[in-house]
This record gives sequence, C-alpha cells and structure tokens, in this order.
Amino acid sequence: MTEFIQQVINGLSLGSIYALIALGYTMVYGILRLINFAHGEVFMVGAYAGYYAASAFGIDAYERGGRAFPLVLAVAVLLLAMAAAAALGTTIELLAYRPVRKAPRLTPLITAIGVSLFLQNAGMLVFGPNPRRYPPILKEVPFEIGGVIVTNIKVTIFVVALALMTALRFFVLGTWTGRAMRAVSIHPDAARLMGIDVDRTIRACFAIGSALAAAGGILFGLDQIMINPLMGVLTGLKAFVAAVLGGIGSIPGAVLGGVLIGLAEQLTAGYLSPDYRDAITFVILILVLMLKPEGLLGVVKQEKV
Amino acid sequence: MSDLALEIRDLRVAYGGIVAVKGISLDVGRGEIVTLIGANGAGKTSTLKSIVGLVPPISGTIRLFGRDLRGVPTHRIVADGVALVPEGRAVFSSMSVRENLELGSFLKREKAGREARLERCVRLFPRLGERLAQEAGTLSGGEQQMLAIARALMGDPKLILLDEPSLGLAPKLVAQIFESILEIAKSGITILLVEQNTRLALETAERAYVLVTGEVALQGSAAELREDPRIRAAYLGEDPAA
Ligand SMILES: Nc1ncnc2c1ncn2[C@@H]1O[C@H](COP(=O)(O)OP(=O)(O)O)[C@@H](O)[C@H]1O
Ligand SMILES: [Mg+2]
Repeated sequence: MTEFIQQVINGLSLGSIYALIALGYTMVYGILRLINFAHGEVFMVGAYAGYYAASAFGIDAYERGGRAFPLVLAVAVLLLAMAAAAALGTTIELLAYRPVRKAPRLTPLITAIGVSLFLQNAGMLVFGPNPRRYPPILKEVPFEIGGVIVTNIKVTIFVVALALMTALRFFVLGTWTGRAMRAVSIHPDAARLMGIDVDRTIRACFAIGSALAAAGGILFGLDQIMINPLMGVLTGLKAFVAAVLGGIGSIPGAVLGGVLIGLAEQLTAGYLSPDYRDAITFVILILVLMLKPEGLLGVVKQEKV
Repeated sequence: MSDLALEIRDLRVAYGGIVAVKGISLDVGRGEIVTLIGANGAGKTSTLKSIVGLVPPISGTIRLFGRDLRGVPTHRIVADGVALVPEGRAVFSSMSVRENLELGSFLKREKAGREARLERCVRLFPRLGERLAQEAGTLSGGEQQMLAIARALMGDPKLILLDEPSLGLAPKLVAQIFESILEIAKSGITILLVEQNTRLALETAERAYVLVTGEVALQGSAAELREDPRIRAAYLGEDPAA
C-alpha cells in the first residue's frame, strides 16, 4: 500500500508537469486549430532559460558554500524563464505561423514540425549537445509520512503547477483577454465583430501557453536533474497525448489528461517494468483515438447554422 | 462632420475569380433606416461583410461617418461605432447569454454604461432576460436572433447593419423582431437592413436599394418602391392588376 501511495505521489508530480505543458497545446489548438509541434522545444528552452538565470544569480557559489539558494531568487528564475519562453512563443507565432494562418491546414502543421526541428538543432548549437545537471534551485529535503517518502521537490512541483493552473482559470474566466480567447476559439469572425483584436488575442495565447511550458521545464529540471536540448521531444509528445486524452481544446481536459498520463507512466514503471514507462503513453494515445477520439472532456464539434 | 453615416462608392467584392458585388454605390444618412433587398446570391451579405472589413473589397471606397475604411481591420471599424448582426446570428454557442452580451461590450467596458445597456436590452427582449444563464447554443432561432441584435446594442453603436434578421423565423417572431428594429431606430441609431422579406423591409425602411446579381437595379424611397410594378411583380409576388 505504501508502495502504491509512493507511486501515486510521484505520478501526480510528474503529471502536473505534463499538465502545464499540455495547456499550451490545447490553448493554441483551441484558438488556431493548430498542433504546435514546436511547443516541446519551448518547454526545453524554458528549462535552459531557468538554468542560465540560476547561474547568473550565482547559484554555483551558493552550492559551493553549502547555502540554500534564496527563495526570492528561485521565484525570479521561474519568472524570468517564463518571460523568455513567452517571448520565444510569440516570436514563433509571428514569424512562422502568422504568415501561413490562412493557408490550407497542412501548411501550418508542416511549418510547426519545421520550427520544432529548427529549435532542437539550435538548442544543440547554443546550449551544447551534452546533458547538463540542473542547478539545485530548491535543495531536496525528503520527509516521511506514514512510511511514504515524500520530497519537498515533489510537493513544490505539485503546488506550483496547481497555483499556475488556478491563475490560468481565473484569467480565462475572469478577464477580458481571457473572454476574448474563448470568443475567438468559438467563432473568430464574430469575435472580430465584438471589436476583439484577433491577432493580439492569439499572441496572448502563445505567450501564456509558452510561459506555462517554461514553468514545466524548470519543474522538470528540478525533478529529473538532467536536461538536454532534445528533452522536449518525448516530454512534449507525452504532454500532447495528455491534451488529446483530455480532449484537445479543453483546458480542464489538459489538466486531467496530464495527471492521468503522469499516473499511468509512474504506475507502469513501478508495477510492470520501467522499460514500458514511455510506451504506455502511446498505448493510451491509440486507445483514445480508437475509443473516444474527442477525448475525456472534449466536445464533439457541432456547428450550429 | 459628414451627415452620412455610410457612403459606399463603386464597391467591388470578389471571391477568387467570382465577382459578387459589381460596383455598387449606396448612402445611409444619419438616423435613417435604409434597406438593401435582393434575391439569394445578389451580394447583400458580401456588401455588409466588406463594410466591416471581414471581406476586403477589390476596389471602391467605403466611408463610415466620413472616415475612409480602406485597410482598417475589423476591430477598429467596430470601434468607430458600427455593429453587424450577421446572417445566421453567429452567437457564441457554448457561452451563456450573459457572456454573449458582455462580449458585445468588449470595447465599452465601463461598468455603469454596460449595466444600463444590459437593462435596456432586457427591456427590449424580455425573453433574453429570463435566459441570461442559459447557454446561447440552446436558444431557439428567434431567441438567438434577439441575442445577436442585443449583443450588437451592447457595443453602443451609432450604425447597425442587420443581415436577414427574419431568416428562418416564424411570422410572429419576425413581427416582434421588426418592432424592436423600429424601436432601436427611434433611439437614434442608424440602420442598414438587409432582407429577402421585401414586403416587411419596405414597410420598415425609409429608403431602399434593390440589388440584382451584384448591381443596384433600383433605388428610391420605400413608399415609391412599394408601388413600383417591377417590385410588385418580382418581389412582392403580386399580380400587378390587384
Ligand atoms: N466565401 C465565399 N466564397 C466564394 N463565393 C462566395 C462566398 N460568399 C459568397 N459567395 C458568392 O458571392 C455571391 C453573393 O453572395 P452573398 O453576398 O452571400 O449574397 P446574398 O447575401 O445576397 O445572398 C454568391 O454568388 C455567392 O455564391
Ligand atoms: Mg446573405
């Protein structure tokens, strides 16, 4: 039983990282009907931005001196990485997707794959191809509750992800920009007629989705210790499957899908074999596409004339 | 300041190679109710869409309250005080009636004004008031039409373009919608009404333009056109002798 609880805790923490990344896929899909394949690379760049920000704040010195990295600096690292990723995401939108927005759907899709490959290679060029150890922005402190070992890192991942997702919920439901996003995703021309600047709304969508992916990148670095320029490929794909599982276009769906994929992966690794931890995601993808292609919380598209 | 709300000169609209609007000119004076009538495919919707910038014209000029709209994006045109109630309503189907109305005030967010306009809309369409929390997609066709008109009013426009508000509605509802259009006009809002229901349109409007395959075939006061034998035969389905 404690073993099971242990796995569930790890699964929840991993799943909340997937959920953060899945939100970006689902928001962009909801508004542009585009699968942003470059999103995994935005996640990767976010992780590296956090890495460099922590270095700039002198994390090496703190580590050598055996002192904990101050919390305010850790928060600053998170915010800087989120800002950097938002800048990258909106630049990708402006340079790569906007020019092909009115083209047939295959064109933006291929563009997205191109941007993804470009960023993977640019990442290897700029950051170097070798994995790097993620700096201890948070010092790991394990503690035990009823025989279950929990670390402060797992708890932090869960809490930070939950806080960001709650903030997103308030933003989407409670602000004019959030409303504009929903309006554009339902009916772009009607949204224009309300006076909504659709370009600006799409940009906001990319900015927010990318910032959330960067937060996911830092939490991933904290959790997995190592990062590399290709880390966005597999993790991005898993988060995409999470978005599809939850119902692509649905924000609560992305959260649910992320958590479920995280749990499935952790339980498979724990009870079946660690060798299957990546494969289970794709088994789930195939099952969803066969049994419930609209996803758990997605709606079947019904256009009322 | 121009005394024209809308001034269209030699407007041409095309989709690919198909020219849908072939050089029409049209004026709407401030405070007027003008109707644009014509059969299906005559180019009425294309004209309205090009006014609000949803379809860019290939040539011609459109002036809104004296301002040339060439190259101005839709959200800016709307900010100048025009609202389009589109054909087919285009309500935000998965949002509540209240959210739809609030989005109508996207550019006029100031709370007191927004609430005053909401109250006015509910007085105009009591059925919407009873359904503020209901999802817009579950409204009947007539209620969706009311919502589309009310949503336009929420932006406090000076000019409203209505695209076939009677389309697909039962006669009783049509009468109700047209009563509210007259009421809206009484409050000082200029109206350009596109209709296929020629009889009703000519009863409601002061002036009319008749569009035939992308060209203005006839124009004049509504009273004149009501008596025009060509209109009576072609659009009112009347025996000229009757
Ligand atoms: N999006 C479009 N693509 C191609 N042709 C169109 C499009 N919209 C309208 N048309 C054509 O333009 C002409 C005028 O259409 P429209 O403006 O909708 O007329 P109306 O509103 O008077 O029925 C029609 O021949 C129609 O087929
Ligand atoms: Mg039409």
